[in-house]
Amino acid sequence: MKFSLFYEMQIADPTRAAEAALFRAAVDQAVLADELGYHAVWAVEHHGLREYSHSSAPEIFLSFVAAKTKRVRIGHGVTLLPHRYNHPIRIAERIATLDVLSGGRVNWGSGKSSSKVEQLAFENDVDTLHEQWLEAVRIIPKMWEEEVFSYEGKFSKIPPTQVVPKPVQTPHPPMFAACTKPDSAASVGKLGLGALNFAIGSDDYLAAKVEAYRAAVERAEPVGKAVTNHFACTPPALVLPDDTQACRYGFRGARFFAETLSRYYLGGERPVGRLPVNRDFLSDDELAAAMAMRGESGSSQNVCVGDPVAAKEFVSRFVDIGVDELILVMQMGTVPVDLVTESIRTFGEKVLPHFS
Amino acid sequence: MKVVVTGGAGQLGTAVLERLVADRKVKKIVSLDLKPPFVPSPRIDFRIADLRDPGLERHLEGADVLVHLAFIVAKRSSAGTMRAVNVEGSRRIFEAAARHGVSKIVYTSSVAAYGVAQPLPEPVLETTERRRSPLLTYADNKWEVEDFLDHFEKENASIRVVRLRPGILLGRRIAHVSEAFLSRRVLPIAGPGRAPIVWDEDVADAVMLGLRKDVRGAFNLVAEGALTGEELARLAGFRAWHLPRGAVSAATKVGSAMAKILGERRFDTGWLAAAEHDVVVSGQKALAELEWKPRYPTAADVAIAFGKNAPRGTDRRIGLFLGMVGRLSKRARATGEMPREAQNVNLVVHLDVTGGTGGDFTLKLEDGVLSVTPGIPRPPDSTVTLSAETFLELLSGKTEASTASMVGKIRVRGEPLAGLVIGGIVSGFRRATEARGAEGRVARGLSAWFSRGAAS
Repeated sequence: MKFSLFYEMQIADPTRAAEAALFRAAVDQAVLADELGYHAVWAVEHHGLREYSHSSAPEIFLSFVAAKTKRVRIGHGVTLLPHRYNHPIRIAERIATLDVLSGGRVNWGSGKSSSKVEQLAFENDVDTLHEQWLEAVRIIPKMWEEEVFSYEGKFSKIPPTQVVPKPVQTPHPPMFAACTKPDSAASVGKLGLGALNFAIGSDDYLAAKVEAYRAAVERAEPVGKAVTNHFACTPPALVLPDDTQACRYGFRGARFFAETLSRYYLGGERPVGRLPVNRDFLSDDELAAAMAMRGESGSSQNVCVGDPVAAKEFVSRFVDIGVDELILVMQMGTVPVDLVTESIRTFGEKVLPHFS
Repeated sequence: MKVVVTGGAGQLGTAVLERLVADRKVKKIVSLDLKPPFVPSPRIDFRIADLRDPGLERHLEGADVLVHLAFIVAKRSSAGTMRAVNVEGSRRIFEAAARHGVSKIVYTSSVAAYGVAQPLPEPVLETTERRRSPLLTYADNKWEVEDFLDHFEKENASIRVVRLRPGILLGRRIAHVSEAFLSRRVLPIAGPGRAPIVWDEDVADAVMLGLRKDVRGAFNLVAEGALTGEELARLAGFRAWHLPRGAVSAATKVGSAMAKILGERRFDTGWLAAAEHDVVVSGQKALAELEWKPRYPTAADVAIAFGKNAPRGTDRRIGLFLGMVGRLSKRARATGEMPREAQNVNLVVHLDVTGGTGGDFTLKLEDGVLSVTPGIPRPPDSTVTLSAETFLELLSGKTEASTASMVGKIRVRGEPLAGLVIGGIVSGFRRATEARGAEGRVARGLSAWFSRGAAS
């Protein structure tokens, strides 16, 4: 099992100062993760999802991280591939450059965006998002392979062009894709891509999803030169020496994460200003119930919160399920920066070595 | 571990499958029954099978454990059919399991295997001599199966056989009292005798203990303290209704009249004879050796839980809201409230609203539009379980779906998208209460109505 960190860059009360503090702290945390033996630091790409995600230019953040770290992998994902966000050539160039500068440490993930806010802000054709993603994800690895690249497709018409530089990893950086629908994991497996999943569903359901993914990878028609057989989940996490403290902050953070997400993803409108979501701690009764539910077998409450003992139990469930990587969402809007750092340290020292 | 379960679609089978699915060691489950199960899980391979099928044996291929629950209790079947399924069917499945090399068999026998319609020692222990029950086919079938198992165990010493002997099963959904009686809060009483009772989920817990622990032999499963029918009814808040008994000499006629009253096709008058006698059973051995921890340890606890959970008809407000769901889902789809992921997915959801004023509903999602019908789909893609109280709290805005799922007030089994769909419908309604104009006024009126007593 590999353990990584996931950065949405959430802020419960955004101010310029809070943003600056968050980005600087995130870089320090990435350096700590590098020292503690985490596998990767992932950063997402979102636009205008205030409070939920301020990570709109992950390429900048990640190149900063790459410069300050030695071994941790640089999880660049997911980048948004519909053209209005990023032209496929720009993605090929940026990923290759980061791969060069990081010494071949880039893991590249892609997606197509699900929020109306960003779809409309960039004037995307919402009906063709999937097709645009699929075309781009097919041609980007070819840009890395071919000395002179040319393509005639539905969305891209590129005359013979020399796309430079080339990545240092051969044949190219491992490729991953976001999975949001029940059958997404299997369909990205079929393309030979690693699967990035929310950690939702009970163990039996997730195990079946992993199984369907593996079966699809077996008979993949890969879009790249290499197949990435890798299933990752992104559970909310907070691991501290004190179980109750971890749960108080962790469940509050997970609730903020879930509610801000649903405001941008499930609402028909495009919210402006402070989001009407829960920012409080759970009541004592709610906290007790949520804590008790952690140990329940077959539970679909997939949050890795608590002390190292609870975290080990959580991780062992995902080992059984057959997941390859847990990308821990410790950075949640309502969790103070220092607690995120402490959680990275506690997990890295007390839990991570247990599964390596 | 691969487990084969007979009777997986029944009252006890549902609770057992729920537990098997949640057990990390159980990788594969085969459910054999006449119908698909209620429990959604990719781990369950359900097969439509009858214990009388000549090809029954193939279902045991690769099995490590057999859990044999299937048994005809009373309804609809002749004594001949009952014997063919209960006795011959059990024999055949045990023998097939032995040929396929299972290491364990968990069989749900019954306290009836000790004999009914006759005086028994008090309390009945696992070592109490079992006697035939010529007056009641069900009990006699149970005796015959155990008698067979005595021989079977000698010949197959390597198979650990666990015989669970539960009392009368009470639970949220009970098969042996008709809905017409339940909804009118009437409990038909067959006779003056005290009978052992037990909560069905507690029996399912014992099945799992029998499966996991290194044990063999018989275990009585009863809540402490046998109750008379009248005591049970009083504790549950039901009205006791004594079955008119008539002359015992006219047993057949009594049977057909009784069947008519009870809404059944048949009634075995042996039940009347059985209810003449006290049956007082000790459950100490299961508590000590299985470390069985029933949630309802005393008969009074079971009776009270039964009163709370027996369906008395769905809360009118929930009924009304579910009636509106089709329209709400169309609206949610139009506004984007329905997750985009749900718009081209087909999903069959069992909405399991618990508590006396809950109910079972089938939600069908087809191309982003929902329809609701009463009843449980077999098999569902997902089951969403929440109490009637939680449902009203969600609708009146007193609690959020995010918190409710975090603390276990909403539980989703199977395809997790179902949780988002229900959440989307509820939040669609909540946003309607914020709207201006007539629509908002109607939604606000409903919301106020939903909130009345919701937080009690």
